[in-house]
Amino acid sequence: MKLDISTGDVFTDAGEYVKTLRCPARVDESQIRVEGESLRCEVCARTLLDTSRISDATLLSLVREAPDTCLSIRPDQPNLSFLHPGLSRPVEPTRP
Amino acid sequence: MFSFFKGNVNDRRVIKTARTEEAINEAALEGFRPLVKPVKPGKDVSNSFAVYQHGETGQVVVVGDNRKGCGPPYRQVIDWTDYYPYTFPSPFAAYLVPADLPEGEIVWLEDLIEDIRGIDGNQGYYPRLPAWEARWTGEDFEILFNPRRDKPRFLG
Repeated sequence: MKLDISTGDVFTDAGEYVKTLRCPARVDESQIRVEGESLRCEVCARTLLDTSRISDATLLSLVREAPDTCLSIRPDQPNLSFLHPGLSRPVEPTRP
Repeated sequence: MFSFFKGNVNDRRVIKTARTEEAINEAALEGFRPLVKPVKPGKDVSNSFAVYQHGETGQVVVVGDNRKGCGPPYRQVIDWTDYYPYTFPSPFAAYLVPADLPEGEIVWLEDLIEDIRGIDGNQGYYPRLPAWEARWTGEDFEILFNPRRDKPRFLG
């Protein structure tokens, strides 16, 4: 998974666009509750998809089924890298 | 622009930063007390990159994800390298402190002068914290960022 830090665009490692992060609420970390395997945002009363343990294929499938799915991404997730100014976009060619 | 850190969620008083001599002096004339500080790159703030070049066309690909590289016909021409990615207009800056700011008030520093690592990205991406809450001690601001407690989370 890749996150463009300047736009909020999320891609798979292979370069497929997933969605753009848009959160109109001003959510503080204290307003996010862990409920079993899920996360719940107390501002919107919605369940968040914790992306830290899912594959790119699963992520893409879930978001295509439900485009309004709200994602939660932590910067230190092992399955995440960032796109930021100076790097080639949207993703680099991967090793064959 | 997409913001990856929380904003001024507690509606604190906003303290602006002046980053040039002219801006600092203008603010002083307006009644602010400029708190002047040096602008120093933090040793914990960096990005990393590597460059691969196509063997025939000469075109390059700049990568920032150290999980990935480029296979033939690309070859690596710059190995993974850390660099400081920010520039500022002056090697000094000043927080513009309102004359009536009482000791102990928690404010929002909208443009931090201090270089604090904001994200522990795991692919060589360690950006600086752009803004945060701080407590005015009467002489300086105590920045209230706790890397363990305040790790950002991207939502949406």
